[in-house]
Amino acid sequence: MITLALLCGIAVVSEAGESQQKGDLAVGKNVYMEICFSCHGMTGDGKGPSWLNTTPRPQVFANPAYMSRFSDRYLYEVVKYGKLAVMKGEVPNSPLEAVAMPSFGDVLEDDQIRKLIELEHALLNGQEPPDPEIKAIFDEACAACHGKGGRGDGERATSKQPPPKSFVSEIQPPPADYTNAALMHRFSDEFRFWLIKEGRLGATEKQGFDTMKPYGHILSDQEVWSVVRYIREVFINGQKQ
Amino acid sequence: MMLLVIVGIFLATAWHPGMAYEAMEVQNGGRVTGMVKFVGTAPAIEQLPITRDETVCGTGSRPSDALVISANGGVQYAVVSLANITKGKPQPSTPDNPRLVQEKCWFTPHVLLVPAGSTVDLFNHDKVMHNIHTTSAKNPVINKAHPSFRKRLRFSLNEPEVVKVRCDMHAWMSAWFVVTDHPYYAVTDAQGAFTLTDIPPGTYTLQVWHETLGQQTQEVTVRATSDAKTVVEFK
Repeated sequence: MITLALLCGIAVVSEAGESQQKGDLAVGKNVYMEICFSCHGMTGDGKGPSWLNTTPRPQVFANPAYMSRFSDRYLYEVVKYGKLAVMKGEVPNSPLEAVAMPSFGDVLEDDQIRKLIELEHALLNGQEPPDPEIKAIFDEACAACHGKGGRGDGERATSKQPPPKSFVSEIQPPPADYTNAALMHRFSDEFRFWLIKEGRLGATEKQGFDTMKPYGHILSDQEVWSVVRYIREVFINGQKQ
Repeated sequence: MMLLVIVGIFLATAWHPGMAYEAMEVQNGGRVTGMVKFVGTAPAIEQLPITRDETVCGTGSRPSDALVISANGGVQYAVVSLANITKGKPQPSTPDNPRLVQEKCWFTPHVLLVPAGSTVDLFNHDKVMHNIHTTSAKNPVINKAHPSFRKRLRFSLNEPEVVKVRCDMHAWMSAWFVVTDHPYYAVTDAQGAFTLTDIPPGTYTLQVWHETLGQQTQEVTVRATSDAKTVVEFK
């Protein structure tokens, strides 16, 4: 059992190195500066020229605390096939079991959802949870993935890896860390409401919120791996160029 | 889109819902009884590690339901049906909806027959959160959180097909909905046995589908008020 857990841990962590083997840093930089920068920004701050056009706002790559929890394989699939296809399990022969946020609309009242959003804001601001009843709901319904303290490090996310040290989440994409300002500022309250009520797929498909588009039709596999390598090494690992 | 097509082909080859079905009164119907059997050395049952919520889910590992073979070779959880039947008894009308239970972080039953158009009752008897996450081609994907403070969820399944069911919280949990467009379906028991009843006399294609072993068909002739005995073998 311990051996199995160790093997799983190694398998998850080693995925992060896949772009290094399959991608080229210079090619990745070219692709990034030609395409990705327009939303994600030249410095990976999520504030490229088009950043105001999407809800939620573009991913902030220069956010190592959150971004280091992604595996290279997940980033590769999202760039190539688009996030929606990954979330729907439509990527051919994918080794990942991407976990989309489920819907809570059947089990929570709208008012409870709004109070959960208040709780998220409180966590970001370092305040005590405003309402004990909502805290109890959070502990029961949210903490399995998002963690008791809302740091995206629940039992389901971390498996046997030791938080709070940087870890690659067992589930991809990693659950949101409510204390991470760069991440949470991407999400409007309206988006959060529909995300909780309808789940990630419902928010996108029924409510029309944005999500990362596929680029596999214009980028080769090698180019996709290269841009993942560029994001990993330059923005997440902070490697000097 | 490509994967949708691939999944579609897979389901189409793995499953043949019958043509349009007409319900009628069946008198002096016959039965098909038999057994689904594994011939040869049965593979070891896969053990699924229980990795979280151990106070509720238990510790160690649990034997998978994906391939369960009895001492005499009977295959449990195979789905037996008359693939090309066009007329026969109506779908059963029961006061209770088909129900799937989550208890000790396990789905029961592992294979649930759901007449198309039915409402399914999903129960959470555990003190932890589950979520039901389905994979399907024709029915909308379901991905609903199911915390313990809401004991029952409901949803309907309208299109005949096989739907895979998982819980993202507990990766070892899995089940299947078989959404049916006629009542001549059975799931084999722990001995691999099945019975289909009230069948209008005629010759039919008996179809057997199993999640791990695949699919087989064979012809079966049903006579009035008689049993057609059959054994379907997987190797």
